[in-house]
Amino acid sequence: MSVRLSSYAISGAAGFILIAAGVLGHWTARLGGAPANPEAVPLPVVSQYGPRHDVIGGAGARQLVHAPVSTAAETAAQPAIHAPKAPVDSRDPGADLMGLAMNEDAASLERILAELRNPNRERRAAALRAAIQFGSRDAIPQLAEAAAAAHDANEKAELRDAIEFLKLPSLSEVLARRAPAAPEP
Amino acid sequence: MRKLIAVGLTAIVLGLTPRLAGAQSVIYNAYFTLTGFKQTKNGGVAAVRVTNKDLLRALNATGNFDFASGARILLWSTDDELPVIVVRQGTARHATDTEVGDYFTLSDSGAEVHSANNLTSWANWIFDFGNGQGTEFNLSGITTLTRGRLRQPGGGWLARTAQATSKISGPGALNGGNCVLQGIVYVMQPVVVAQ
Repeated sequence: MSVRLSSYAISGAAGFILIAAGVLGHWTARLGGAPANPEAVPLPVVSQYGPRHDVIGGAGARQLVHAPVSTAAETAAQPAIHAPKAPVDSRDPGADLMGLAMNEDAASLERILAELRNPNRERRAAALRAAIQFGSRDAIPQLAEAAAAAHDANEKAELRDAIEFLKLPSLSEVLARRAPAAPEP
Repeated sequence: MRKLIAVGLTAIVLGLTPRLAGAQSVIYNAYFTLTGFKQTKNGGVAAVRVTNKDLLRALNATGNFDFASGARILLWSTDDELPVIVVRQGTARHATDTEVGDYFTLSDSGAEVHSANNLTSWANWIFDFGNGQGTEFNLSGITTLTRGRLRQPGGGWLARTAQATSKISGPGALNGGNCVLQGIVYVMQPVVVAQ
């Protein structure tokens, strides 16, 4: 009986240790703590993008890099220059909107612009990027409404910058104006 | 107890899966938002906006492509190397990918620095475009690359660049006239491609 009990105890302890190892591996991966975990895989010593790069810094090299001068709108629209403490979530909350932005139909634009009123800040930012890519001046009135309603100064500036951008003639419009007229049949 | 041990082993195997991942290609959507400034004949300055649709039309102007509405500009990175530029038409299931490397390329200056935890890198990217029809540019600038976990098609995760932002500027020509351009390129929506 005592042999059987100790057998159970050993098996139980082994199972517990295995589960603990699995859970520990998972959470260290999430936290990016241990270098062996998959989410904190160090970048290759030579380079992330091919062997011909000269790595001019290792740990602490970021001190050499200064944040570029940027407008408030640009700063808000892009990742901070400081390194994140954990891997970013690669899912993009605005992927569907950017897909719509590549279309030309009014329905796609309406769906994009509707998201300017989304309570989620990231979703609104994605809608703004999509509206810019869509490239229609029809978006300007709703962008102006969104700018007027925005409480955040950065978001307001981003929206105003987008309006000014869309007011510019696009390269395609400039080229179309200069294109020679097709010969009469 | 056997069940407990089995669960433990499964947990360990799941934890190891991403580490065992082999080389993979990752494709990203790239979104260009550029402003070009051009000298006008009367001494003034004319500004022009350039986004993906304009670049696709400029590629069509070569006569070698016929990209339609909905086409996307992708950056295709194989084995975590510097991506090449391709244009995708259609849906993910029925996509046609076209290399446009004769007209549109991405290179870098060679220098790259990494954050202490290796989750962020900074590099100098150079976008070179020329359609032989009067539209060209050579834009470079600092690119911030952020690393993340990407889901693999067969399960598991891959540690790769998840998004990048490139702030670029440089000389070019729009409609045949010299100009300077500046802007930003968002590189996002990574998808791991099964080999």
